[in-house]
Amino acid sequence: MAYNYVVTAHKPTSVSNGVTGHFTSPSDLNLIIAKNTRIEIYVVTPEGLRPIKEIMIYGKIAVIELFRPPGETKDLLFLLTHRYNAMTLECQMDGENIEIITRAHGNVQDQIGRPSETGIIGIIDPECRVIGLRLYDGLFKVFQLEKENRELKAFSIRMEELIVIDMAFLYGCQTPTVAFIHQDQSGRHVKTYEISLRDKDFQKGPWKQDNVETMASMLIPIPEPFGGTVIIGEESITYHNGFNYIAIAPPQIKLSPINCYGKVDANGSRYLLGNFSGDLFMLILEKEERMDGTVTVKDLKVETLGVTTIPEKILYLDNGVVFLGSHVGDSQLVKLNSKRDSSGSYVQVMETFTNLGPILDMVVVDLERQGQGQLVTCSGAVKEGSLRIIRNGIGINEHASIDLPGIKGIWPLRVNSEKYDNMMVMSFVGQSRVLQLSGEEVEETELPGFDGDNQTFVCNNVSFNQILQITQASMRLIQCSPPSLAAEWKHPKGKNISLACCNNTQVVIAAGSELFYFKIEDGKVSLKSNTTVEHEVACLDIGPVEGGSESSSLLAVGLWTDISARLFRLPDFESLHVEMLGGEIIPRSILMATFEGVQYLLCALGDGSLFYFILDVKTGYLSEKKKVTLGTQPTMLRTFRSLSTTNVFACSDRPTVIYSSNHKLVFSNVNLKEVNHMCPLNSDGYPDSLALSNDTTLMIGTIDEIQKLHIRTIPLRESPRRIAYQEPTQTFGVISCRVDSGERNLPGFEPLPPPASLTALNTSTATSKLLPSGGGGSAGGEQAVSEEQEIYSLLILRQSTFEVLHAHTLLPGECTTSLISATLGEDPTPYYIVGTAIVSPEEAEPKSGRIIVFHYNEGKLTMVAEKEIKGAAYSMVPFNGKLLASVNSTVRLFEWTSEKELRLECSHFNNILALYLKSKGDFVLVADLMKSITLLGYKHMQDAFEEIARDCNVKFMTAIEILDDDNFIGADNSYNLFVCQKDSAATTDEERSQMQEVGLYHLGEFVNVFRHGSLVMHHAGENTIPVQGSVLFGTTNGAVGMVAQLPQEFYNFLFEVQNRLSKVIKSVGKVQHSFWRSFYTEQKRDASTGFIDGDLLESFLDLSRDKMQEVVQGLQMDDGDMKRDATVDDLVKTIEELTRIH
Amino acid sequence: RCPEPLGKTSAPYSVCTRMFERQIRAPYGGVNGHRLDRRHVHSKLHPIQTFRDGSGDGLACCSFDFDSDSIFIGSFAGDLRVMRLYASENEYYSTVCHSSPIIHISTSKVNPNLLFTSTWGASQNCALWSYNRDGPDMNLKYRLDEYTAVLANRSSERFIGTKEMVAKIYDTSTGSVVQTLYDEGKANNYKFNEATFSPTDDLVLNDGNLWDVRTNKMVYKFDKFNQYTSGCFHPGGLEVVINSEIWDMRTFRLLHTVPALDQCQIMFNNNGDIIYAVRVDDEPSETVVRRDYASTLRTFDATDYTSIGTFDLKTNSIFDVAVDRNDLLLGIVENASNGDTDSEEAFCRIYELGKTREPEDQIEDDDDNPQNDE
Repeated sequence: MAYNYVVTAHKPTSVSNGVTGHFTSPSDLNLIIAKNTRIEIYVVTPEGLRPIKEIMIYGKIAVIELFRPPGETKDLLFLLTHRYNAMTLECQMDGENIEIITRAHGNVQDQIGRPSETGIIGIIDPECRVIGLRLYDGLFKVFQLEKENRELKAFSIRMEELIVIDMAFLYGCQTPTVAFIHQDQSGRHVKTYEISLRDKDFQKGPWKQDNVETMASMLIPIPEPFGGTVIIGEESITYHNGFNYIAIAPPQIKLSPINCYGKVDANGSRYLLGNFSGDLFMLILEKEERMDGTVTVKDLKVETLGVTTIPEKILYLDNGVVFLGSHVGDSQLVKLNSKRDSSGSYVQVMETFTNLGPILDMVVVDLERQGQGQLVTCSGAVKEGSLRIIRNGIGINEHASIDLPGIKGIWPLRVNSEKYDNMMVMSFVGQSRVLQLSGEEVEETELPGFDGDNQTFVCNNVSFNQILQITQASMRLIQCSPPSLAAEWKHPKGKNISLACCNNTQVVIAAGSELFYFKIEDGKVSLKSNTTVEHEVACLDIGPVEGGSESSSLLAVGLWTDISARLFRLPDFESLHVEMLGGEIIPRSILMATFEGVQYLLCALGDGSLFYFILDVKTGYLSEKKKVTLGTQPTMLRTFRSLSTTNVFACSDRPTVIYSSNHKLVFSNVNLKEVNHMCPLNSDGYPDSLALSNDTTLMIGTIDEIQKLHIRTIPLRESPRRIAYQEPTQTFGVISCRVDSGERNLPGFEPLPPPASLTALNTSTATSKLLPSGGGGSAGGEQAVSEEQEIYSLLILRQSTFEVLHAHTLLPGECTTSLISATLGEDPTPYYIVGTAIVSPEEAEPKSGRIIVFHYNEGKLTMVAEKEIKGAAYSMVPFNGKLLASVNSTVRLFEWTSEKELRLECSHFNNILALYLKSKGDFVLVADLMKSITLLGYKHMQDAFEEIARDCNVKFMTAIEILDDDNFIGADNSYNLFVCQKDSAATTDEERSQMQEVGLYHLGEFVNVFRHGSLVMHHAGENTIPVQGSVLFGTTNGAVGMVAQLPQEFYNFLFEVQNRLSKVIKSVGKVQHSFWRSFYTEQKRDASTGFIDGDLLESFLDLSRDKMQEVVQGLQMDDGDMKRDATVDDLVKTIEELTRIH
Repeated sequence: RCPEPLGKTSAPYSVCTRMFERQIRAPYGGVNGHRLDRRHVHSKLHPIQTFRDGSGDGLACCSFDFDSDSIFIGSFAGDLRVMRLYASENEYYSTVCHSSPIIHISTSKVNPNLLFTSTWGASQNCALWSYNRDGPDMNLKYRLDEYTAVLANRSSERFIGTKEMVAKIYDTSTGSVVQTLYDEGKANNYKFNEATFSPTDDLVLNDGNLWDVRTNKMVYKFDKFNQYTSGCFHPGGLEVVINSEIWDMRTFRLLHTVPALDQCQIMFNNNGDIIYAVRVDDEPSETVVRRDYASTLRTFDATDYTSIGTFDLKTNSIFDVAVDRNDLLLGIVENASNGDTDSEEAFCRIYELGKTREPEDQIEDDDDNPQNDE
């Protein structure tokens, strides 16, 4: 199969850029953050950041700037993508509805030109006259910002300076004036040019400065009255405006290169500076007022404020609050205080924004053995390095559990308690129990008036400080102070009560097909009406569903026999709506619930499926029927509140939390195997908790924040590189790198917590018989210019706690490159196998390295074997009981001898750098630095590899995976995905030896790793969509995606949907979907093929009904064996199912 | 030599460290990473295949097909062969194009179905062929009274032919001359003049003189610093390279002098970021068009003209160099004959860039890589 579905499971989270300004309205202060292909717009409020809109851009965002043309009251957004689509966007607010209007757009790619090594630089004139872009060496592109220009047109100016490091527009200039740092043979220089818009050319600028610091890397333009620029180097900071030149060399900036800046004051007297170590500095321009009234810079000062995340972009918001967008760690919202805290810092973190990026490696594991994968990623770098555990669904964190078999229902009670629940009622067959909750203690208690000799159906606090208990025998109203029975009701003919429901003020009781409606009053319940329905009642619910109301005029009932859901109006049981559910499975639980202001009726059946409808509260009418399968057993629905939103817990063999996101119901599974009953619990010992029971146990726990993917962070504070899971020892192995930089601590500041490799329970240091001196790192005395030394370690972490059990330090100069867990040959011992390289900074390619075999057993890590190799072991895979490793340009197979040594068996040479390996049976897939992929076959008889097929196109590979015996997926460094197919049936050898490109797709993400596995549980027979396989990928920007395979028919159908959607959904910036997804490298561009864009497909669900109709109009779908016109509901159902595969 | 660090996030010099750094700083592991990757690939060369002339006259020139994995090879006998790379049966088409040696073949990615052959001998001329891969067959379109000809860069509607100091622009469909670019008073009389279009096709460099095609006027005469090469445009569109001098195409300022390029025939790869250079033999033969090069091939980074690799091909001289559509293979016609024997031992060898023979593996598995050896 060669038809693929690719979809984002977790959006990119690393922040590449951002701006602040007034975009949504003249009075809103906006924070706008760019996360690779997405833009998030926030409003800054006194309560914090309020997200208001997220925009998907058809391109990687290279430049983002806000500007305000003359005559406008709010800012416009200028964007440029990596594929040179430029656009100016305007935000139009219509109440809650936010519309992004493309004011002008165009592609500014040049037919010829050399993309600059220093990347795309975009700057904006402070007077908003022009935008300047440096895309290609030697060319400066200028956009004139005219109001009535639909087509973005630019002109290019040739500049002599080929290597531009940074540039900026100067403030207070009559004509737009650009300043830049450029480099030539003699060093770095700062130069200025005026831009003549009439001549479309540069003119001599007001000043220049030759030979600034050799590592000068950043220009900060300073507003009036100072004007000029600040030039940031690695050792000095200089202010220059042509005649005033002040340079300082504060010691703290030498710690690490300055990475970014953020302007604090509009007049440019203070700037925040961030560096690659996460130190935050304040640069202060001290002013001097001259006799003539002019103001100049007198001096520069740098203050250290504290340590933060490692910022990529610093955005000062207001009142000392700063957003620090990070690429290698979590982003932060911080407050700058005027006083130091106890650790010496002026910086206080207010909010943290999770970032998985960069994901360097990951494994899919099923630690809880539930058939559902979790991802464990190596995320981030340097002090922000961490492991992240990502799982689909919602985690319940267990706080207490009691072995209690046979629970048939649980309810919390507040008996003479203001704030907290202090009792819990449990029902069993033929009896009921009351538990007292005091602190974390739970013990059985007596509640006078409570009937303990019957099974309880319902027990709740109701109005007038009373408790209502309904059992098979009777309804009992219990008053709380003092606790005693206030009233009791029994069926007039002595029938057993079969079901009941109540809210604060109302009760409905069912006995067979009879229904009784009561109102709860002080000290009594009064029967208001009764009726008999056509069949026996199977389930019922009385809400309330109207917002804020304590009572309900609607009663929802599910019936036996005709399998219907019905709505009645109380008190007179007027039938409002009858919905036949079809089938033969009886409804077991019915619930009216309000999500995000929309009323729903949920009805769960005995087979674990769930119908849901939009409920019109006024008419009782049900519409937009949808069905979803939650489990395989009868399902119980209960509401609970979490973070002030209503959610529904569906108890079954696959417990699920139902919540609403963007006005869509989301079904998120919970990390528990089976839940029969559940109730919310808020006691002083267990605040904001849930009580959950299964056949054997009662458990009290708290629920994670409700979101589709749940992420847990294990900070390592050093750079993790590769991860492996070893099931027999219940451990993870991680190879990581820390930088030891001598004295790094700042006076007055508390030292940072040490990295994981220094805080492990046990440590050991490498010894080697093969490489006694280590080598590279210490070679060449002059290399010791920086005292920084990279130290590589193998960390062993306990699976359950992620505690670092052992840290093994490798040789000096020895860099770890690969890690696997495997057994070798007949030897049953599980080994961690580490590949290394001796890296010397002055050597272009490592010439030696090691493969080291470790065994971890009961707290002890032992080196079992080592093998010297001639280069870096970039990748390793277990292969038929042997070890396959790629070493520089070669692929080598090692066998494990009975003496527990690695012995080279055979090699294959046909690569520039064999970077990645994957294997399946006797097949090996090899990815090269630039020569795409090759499939090798192992010949047992000859002990040799044979090249079966290769992709002859040039692709600079970054990751690969084997989809099946014939199809291979790869990612390249131009952000593309491709699938190559081997054609075993081809007639000639030549055809057989060449793989065909059957899938081409521009992903826009840099994929670092592919792994087979899935984040969702696959429920047999539940999905009607024919999707096969699941490969997950992790990217530099922290996105997690998924690729699955489709049969041709379904692919064709989705392809048609995709085409229609790409016409109906107008992209921001008017970039064509086909352009965005076309396979694109520096050398070529090919139309996308063989891939369905799941992100585009899923956006169908966000469309209005009219737009959905427009997409569906004329669409044919295959319904069993004949084609018919698809309806909106058909497509919604299909796409909703597709959203559930990730 | 290690490139100067550029800015705050220079990529690590070691390719091993860089491959990990690019996982964090995509796509190249930092500034200069692209350049370092390029150096890594183009500092190595490894022979993979050799084509010899079965009939004994020897091979004279080669050029890769831009549309398939095959190479055109011209022989001293005047026939043109199309050889399949990677295939077991190599030669699959051969035709006689000229009665005298084919000394130059010009193919182009703008229209891979057109190629020019140049001959040398009794008559010195050039022919345009249309090539049909399905046949395969080669059809003569025109014979031209030119020494060499080459298609324009952006459209195949025009081509430019050169004969000594005179360049003529032709209409490809009719074969008629559209423009003649020659100013006797300004002629530089380079020994090996070959006119070329600029990357945008609006300029032509002929005999060291720059012409504006639209106005048919000479724009600039570059100073002449050598006798041999007339120069070419840098595909990046900013510069003109004439021998070792790099000129700014707009200001005509001399930007750099690269002594290593002196007296070299240079060619750019398709991506425009690598220069292959072979030095014209110090003792030129009596005929002007017959070019011999010394046995050393050098590669340069075309973005900053730094030297990447020097390869002594251990042959007597190099007749021709061609680069394939993927910038991964070099076809080099080598002359291994010693001295003046008539039976020229000239063959075409295909080299793959980025790979070297690993000596230690020769011992470990010496029969593993049979293509290694000649």
